[in-house]
Amino acid sequence: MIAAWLALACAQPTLPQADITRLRTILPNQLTVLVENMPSQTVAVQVWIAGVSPRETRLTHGYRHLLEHIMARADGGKWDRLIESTGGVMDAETARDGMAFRVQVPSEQLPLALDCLAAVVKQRTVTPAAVAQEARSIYHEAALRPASALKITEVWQRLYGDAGLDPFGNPDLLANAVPKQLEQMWAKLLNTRRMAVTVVGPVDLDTTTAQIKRRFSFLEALPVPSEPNQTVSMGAGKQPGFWWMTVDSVAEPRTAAGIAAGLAMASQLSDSYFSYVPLSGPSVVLVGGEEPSIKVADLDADSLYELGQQLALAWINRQLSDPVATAAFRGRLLAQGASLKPETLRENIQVMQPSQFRAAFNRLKGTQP
Amino acid sequence: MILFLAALATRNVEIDERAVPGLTSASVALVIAIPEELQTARSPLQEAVRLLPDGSAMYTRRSLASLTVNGPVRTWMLPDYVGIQFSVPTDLVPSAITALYGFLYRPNLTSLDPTNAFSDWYAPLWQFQSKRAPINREVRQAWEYLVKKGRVRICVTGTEAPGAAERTWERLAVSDPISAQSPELPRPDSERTPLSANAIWLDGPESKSPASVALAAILIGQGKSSELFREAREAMGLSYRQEAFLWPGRTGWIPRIYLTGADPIARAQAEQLRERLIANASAWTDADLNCAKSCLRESLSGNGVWSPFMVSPGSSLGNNPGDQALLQAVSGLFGEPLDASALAIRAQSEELESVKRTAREWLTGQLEIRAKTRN
Repeated sequence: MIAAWLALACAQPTLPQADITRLRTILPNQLTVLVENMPSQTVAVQVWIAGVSPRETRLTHGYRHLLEHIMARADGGKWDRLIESTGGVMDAETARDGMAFRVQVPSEQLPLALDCLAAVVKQRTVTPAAVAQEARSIYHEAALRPASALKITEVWQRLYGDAGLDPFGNPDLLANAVPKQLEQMWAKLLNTRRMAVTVVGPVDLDTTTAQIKRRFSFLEALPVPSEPNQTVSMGAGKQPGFWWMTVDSVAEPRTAAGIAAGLAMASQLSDSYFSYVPLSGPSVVLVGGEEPSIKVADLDADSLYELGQQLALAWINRQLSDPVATAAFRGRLLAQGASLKPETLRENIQVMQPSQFRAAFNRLKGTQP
Repeated sequence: MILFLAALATRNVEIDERAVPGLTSASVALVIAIPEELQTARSPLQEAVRLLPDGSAMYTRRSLASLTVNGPVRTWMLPDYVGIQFSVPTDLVPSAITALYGFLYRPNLTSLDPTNAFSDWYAPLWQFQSKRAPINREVRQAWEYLVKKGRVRICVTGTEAPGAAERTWERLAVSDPISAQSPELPRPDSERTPLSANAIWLDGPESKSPASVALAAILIGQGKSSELFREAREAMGLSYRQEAFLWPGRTGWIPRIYLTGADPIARAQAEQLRERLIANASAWTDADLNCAKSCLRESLSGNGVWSPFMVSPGSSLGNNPGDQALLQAVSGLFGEPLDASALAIRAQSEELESVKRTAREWLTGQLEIRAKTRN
């Protein structure tokens, strides 16, 4: 089965052909919709809102995260009960690249999942009680964050300054967030030019696309404000227990090499972790862990090339291995740019040359600028 | 002597084999109850479990990856038992059993991880951990002690020929007998497990027949529509993570409510939460129960996303062969191996008053509070 990617900018949905398993459509209101047919008992339905605009400042640090908490309780939790009684679940997350509202339900409950997510993005009001309640919840959430998350935050902020603020936010600040300001930010976030709806599971492409169109056509395309140029100090660095380097957009070949290098290095460490946020702009590859008997400085890039390539391919294949992961990876890319797709990254990994890997690996371990 | 050892090895291990027509792969699950005296030696045991998939010297010519066709090998350790689960093509069940024999009796536990970081969500349920890295000898001792003294249960779901696993095991026990020496208990961990968050848990009476208590768990604490989410997180602001589930203990399913958050929870607050939950449970209606039944039915049939059975750290029990094997193996540790489909059917006939009574017994159970600690 050949998977087809239909780029239909500013066009109506096109009839799928027999061998098509995936259909990307840009609705008249500019909302990007991706429907993928995948064998499964459940269907994953997700709404992604890109994190690039409006950008948070030190005064609104964590507002997106707070909004995610508040909006995920749409209609006072009515939808949670409906979804959960089907054995499904609705949750949400805020990451550096975007905010997601996700539902996973038995496949015959697709209309319910779509209704639920449409209700989430229909909301416009934020109450002081909701702010107090969810700011308190985020305060508790902060205590459960792993140490690796704090290291990643530190590197991003050092590299990007205020543009690299941790999306988790500042719990003290959030407790005093002003509902009106939150409502204004929410209205700006709901810009179809920066949103995507993804559905992955045993679904019919045309019917599902039409169902999405019917429910989400109320959303509007807003002008995208020009953000000030991001000052990025491209480079690499290391501290005890972790190594990092900047990479380009997710679509660039050097990024593929950076991911392979990061995964190869992580595989040589104990208790390791790997972090990469797929962005349409500059991002960071970060590796943490303990150096066992061999030191990172002594690792030979050439001997790790094949391993790095295999690990990177396994990594991206894992992102596309089930409905939930696939809906998430495609959604987070499409919300940032309608032409972004995992296949580009996978192709870049497949054709990666040893010299590209070597350059990335040596940059990460600190022996090459 | 060889015959005696074979009998010893066989007696230590119970094998449950189930044929499921139409499957192309069989799922193998092995669980071992951790004996009480090994509870204080968690660090070396944890390390042994971590090393198993990579370091096991198996009695098969195939690598583990080729045996599972590059599928995952899950190994984990919860406070009361160790689990291993993977899937193989149905014709390779004897090889899978051979691999498990290698896991148990010929593990290669040498590549140690010097770190002690342990931040799993259930970390507060551990009493102790060592600050120093365990040494090779302690890791081997812990594993050998577990395997010799623990009760091992294997479940194979989807085998082509029931009985093949048992025969393979017996043949191995004869041809490659295990040592009869009694292993020493490794040096106990001395420090309390350091916690980055505060936790409380409330355990009800153990159950071997969990249909009613599974429904109560869903209503009390599964998901954002549950009592716990609304009372503990939203109304009282006590926690970020809160849930109710069935935890596999050494002698039965333990109904457990578990909350973690940033602040220490005072006993008075915990008792207040308990009172609210008791009051809410007494007001459950048939409509509430029907929601729980629907949720459990979908979960156990593989349509659902999660279930109240915490059979591995990730939970999410479904009706796939892997989860079926795991549920059967875990429940077989302390009673009749459970079948997810039969359990789903049994749960549909539970009555409201029975589920309310179960919830009341649970909610009046033992309350534990662990405050954030740093060694």
